[in-house]
Amino acid sequence: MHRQIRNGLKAKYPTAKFTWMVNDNLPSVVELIDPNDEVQFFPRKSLQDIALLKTVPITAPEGILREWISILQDSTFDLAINLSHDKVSGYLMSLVNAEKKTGLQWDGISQWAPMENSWLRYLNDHMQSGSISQYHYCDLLLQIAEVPAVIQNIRETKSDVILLQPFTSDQKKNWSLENWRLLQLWIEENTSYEAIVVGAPFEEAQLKKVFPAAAIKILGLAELQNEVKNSKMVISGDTAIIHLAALVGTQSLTLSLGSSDFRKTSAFGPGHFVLSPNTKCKPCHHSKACTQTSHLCEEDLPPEYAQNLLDHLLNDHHPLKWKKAPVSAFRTGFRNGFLYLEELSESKLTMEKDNEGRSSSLL
Amino acid sequence: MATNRTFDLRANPQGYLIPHENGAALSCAIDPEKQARQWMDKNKHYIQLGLPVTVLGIGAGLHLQKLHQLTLLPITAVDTRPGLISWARKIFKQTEINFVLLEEKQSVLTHPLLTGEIGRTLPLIFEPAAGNSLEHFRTSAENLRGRSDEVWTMKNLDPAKPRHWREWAVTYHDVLHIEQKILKEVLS
Repeated sequence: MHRQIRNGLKAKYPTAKFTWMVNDNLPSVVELIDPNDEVQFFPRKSLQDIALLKTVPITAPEGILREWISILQDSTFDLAINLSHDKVSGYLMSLVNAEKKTGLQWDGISQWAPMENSWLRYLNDHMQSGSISQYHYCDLLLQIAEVPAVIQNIRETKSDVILLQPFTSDQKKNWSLENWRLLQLWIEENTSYEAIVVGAPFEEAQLKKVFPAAAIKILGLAELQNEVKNSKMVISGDTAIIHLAALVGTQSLTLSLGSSDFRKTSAFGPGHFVLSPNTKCKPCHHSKACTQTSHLCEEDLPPEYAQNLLDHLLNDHHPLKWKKAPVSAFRTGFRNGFLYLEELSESKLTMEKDNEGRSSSLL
Repeated sequence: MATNRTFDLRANPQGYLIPHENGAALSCAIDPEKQARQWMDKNKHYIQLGLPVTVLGIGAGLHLQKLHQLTLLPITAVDTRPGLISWARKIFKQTEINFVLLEEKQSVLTHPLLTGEIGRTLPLIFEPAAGNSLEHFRTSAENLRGRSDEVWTMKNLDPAKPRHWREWAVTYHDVLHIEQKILKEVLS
């Protein structure tokens, strides 16, 4: 998602060089970063690992961090932007040598620097779990960085592949593998598209319990990005593949469950879709386990709704037939430079035909 | 036992001076160079952390020489033998290696030159040089790591609790510096 901000910065400062500071528990993100950019890893996981290592002194992490900071401070930047908005990143901001800094930052002495930017104050007040935001996370970061959104429209494609990614980073946001299997079979039987299931290497064993091996692709991030680019559509929970799709202009459908707050974290581009159950406890707290006796939001999103929406998106003349549905459907668009999500009420769910008589999208 | 110890230096065929205690060599008498290389290799992952190092056991000193030549780390070398300390100070007088005598029954918890290092230095034992002091070296290393019950009790921390950095830092530092603020978040 943060590459959207990088694209905005590149549009405003075409000759700028970029350095990313990334946690070292995510080394594979390098595959997604422009090869002309630099990456500096913050040794978060290393510090945690070393703290638990009984053979080294208890204050070893402090010494290692001090060394890392001295290397960091060898560099000077024109602009430093905090895209993470958490305490650690705020402290790190105080250690970066930069002529201008934006985003959350410690003042380097005793307190948090005043949030003079009103968009930063809004982000601070509205981005915690449970709070409602009228703006997408990317919109707020773009405003804080004072750069434009670089809008990527859905690309025309002749691909006959739809990618399904069942797993997210959080159990609460996952749809059951049985539901994904039903959806995959429905796509294969009712559309002209091939449904391929994608996952990371550590997810392979679980996927193979439910899906035939021939339907599974286990991919690294760079391969995944390529696969997304060459697909007709991506369907997933609220996770990174949706943002990859938005970046490369591949249409996406997000099944927003659990702590997923789609108004803040949906695909940042026009023409993407979200299905979100209207379950009362959704969105739930990001870092806590589901408090319900069963996964209610998942139960409120049976495969039929996803199938019905796909029927509209992929096939001709299949109007939605949702009566008092426990699910809401949304489509992303841009208005006045900001992302908005239009709820697709039944009256709006009519098909639009292009010049050749093919249905192309929902109105 | 310490009072009955005899200490002498004997040249090996390659010309290296090998310290002996009660007739037993305190490093490999045949190829001390190879032994020092192997010790460096065994500890390389710890050495790469870049922390100040306290070496327990001086032996023939070749492992100290390699550590000094290959890194820029502050080095303290500890031994229980006064004669060996005196000899090593002369051999390494051109370096900044700090040699400290830790007598047999002396604890690092009360040693005026070592208490400040507790929890802050990487203790590495050179076992061939330990001789009869191996248990003392092991206990001292554990205390220098700052993770032993004795240290925890000395710092008024509960030995029953996990050896968590956060507890140590918050208790041990009156004012949290920026590094400690970061670690408090990262390690919580």
